Amino acid sequence: MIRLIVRNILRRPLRNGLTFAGIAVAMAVLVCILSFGDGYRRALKSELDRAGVQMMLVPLGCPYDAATRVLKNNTLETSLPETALDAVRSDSVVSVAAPLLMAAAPRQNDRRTDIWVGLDQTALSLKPWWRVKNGQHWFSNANEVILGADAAGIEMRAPGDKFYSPEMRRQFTVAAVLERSGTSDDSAFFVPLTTAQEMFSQRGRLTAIAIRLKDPALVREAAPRLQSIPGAQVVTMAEMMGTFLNLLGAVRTLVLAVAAIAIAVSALTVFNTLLAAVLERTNELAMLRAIGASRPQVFALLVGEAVLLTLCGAVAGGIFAMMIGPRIEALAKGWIPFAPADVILAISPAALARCSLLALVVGALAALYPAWRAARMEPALAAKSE
Amino acid sequence: MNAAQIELAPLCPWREPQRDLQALFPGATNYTRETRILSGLRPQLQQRLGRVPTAEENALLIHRITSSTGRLGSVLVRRVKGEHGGIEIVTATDPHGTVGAVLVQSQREPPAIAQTISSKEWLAGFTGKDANSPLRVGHDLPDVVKEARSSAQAIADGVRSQLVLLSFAEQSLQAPNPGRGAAGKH
Repeated sequence: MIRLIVRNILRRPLRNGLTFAGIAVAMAVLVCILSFGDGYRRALKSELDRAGVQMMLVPLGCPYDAATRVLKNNTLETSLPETALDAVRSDSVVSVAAPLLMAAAPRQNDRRTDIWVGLDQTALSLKPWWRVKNGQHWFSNANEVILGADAAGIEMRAPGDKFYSPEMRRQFTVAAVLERSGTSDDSAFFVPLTTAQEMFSQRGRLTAIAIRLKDPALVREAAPRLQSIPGAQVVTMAEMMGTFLNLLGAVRTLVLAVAAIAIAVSALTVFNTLLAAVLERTNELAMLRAIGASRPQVFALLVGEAVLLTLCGAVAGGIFAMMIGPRIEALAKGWIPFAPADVILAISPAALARCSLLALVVGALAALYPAWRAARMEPALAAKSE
Repeated sequence: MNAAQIELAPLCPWREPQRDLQALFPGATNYTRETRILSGLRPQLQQRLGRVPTAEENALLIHRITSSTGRLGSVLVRRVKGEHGGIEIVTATDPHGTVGAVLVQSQREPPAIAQTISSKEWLAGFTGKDANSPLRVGHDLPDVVKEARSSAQAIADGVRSQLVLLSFAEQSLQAPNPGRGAAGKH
């Protein structure tokens, strides 16, 4: 039976090849979408957990926009008074409060923007990925800069080199170059907090305060207290994650709808291919009946063809998804609101199994009518055609 | 400073092609990108450059400039190590590999150095040079103030490297070479 199924499929290479390709593409789309959702949730949680930041104090305005910008080393138009830092640090449940000042220095003539981050040493405990590749561990004076890996590569700097900011008219010495972390820190220029405040005329001001609590379970207790600091608002990482996942969920639903259409089209293609095969093979199927094949056997033959075709398509689609996954991930990271550094499109065996099963079921269902028609064929038809 | 300590950077982009084309090739109507693989020529390159070719010199990205009448020349973009930061240079050559003009598209030098290395007078010294020309600041190129000398020589060395790489790329184009890169239309 299996040999007959394989031979029947191979007898019409173009038609079955196209059907196979359609199934493979639909399968790849579905696998990528399912894997993307799961991977994004996992990577986002891992990144926020790794930072060990449970909440962030940001200036008044859209809290999620502010927190996202801070996490990606982008600047804010508004700032916090530095007195907020004292208030946060004096809170009994706060373990670490790291002040940050982010500023962008656009270089109009060069069509580039330098991202400067002012920080103090407390920030290091919230940046576990911060590893010095070359140079000293921390600034030894106010005129030193630590460069992210990409920033150092683009500026061709190594520890001890001079570094000049034309916009700020300030000269630095490179204290260290960081190891590549895959985060936005790679392209940033880090300076001591007071230096950044001075450079950008923001004395006594901060862009945000990243907060780690003594116990993550104390978030609900601490948030209202910190919220009462004048000019500041609190964003918890759990809220941020929920917001990102909601945003992503809406997009995912839309894309899943597109994938559903692709699957429906694939099912119709399988249906069409098999129905055409039944019509073309009337004599052959009638002959099978005439030489003793039962109706269930003919029915199984057609369903078997559909299942084999969809199985091959599903396998090829899975391989295709694994091949194009990294490219799709690179594209997706450009438009999603907060792209974690980790892999967000990790194709899991579970996702592959779920999608393959769905493809097989859809393929088998699409084959039911053609198979039923084939099974109804009378053996006498074979004699008629002779 | 040890050169090996410098991080590998992304390929130097051509930041303002339209603006630069107007200045360098006023009659240009189009440009295409061509990547030439030169890794097979490393021993010869080392001999010509007088140093070990860097990893990024294993390939050369050439912007071929054309007009309705034919090929006008090429544009090469490169990042060099200035005294205070990376300097990005744009070199325009004619179809024979002779320099038409050199521009500084990005730098972060203090004003005194920046003015010198970006000045039209100093950059004009590159015009007419080719892969065989020595490019020493103060000898083959106009001299500059002392504090700008290091960055100026870095630019000169960068331009020379570009011209040498281009000459190798063009030679390998004339000979059968499996390293022919893909061209993209813009």
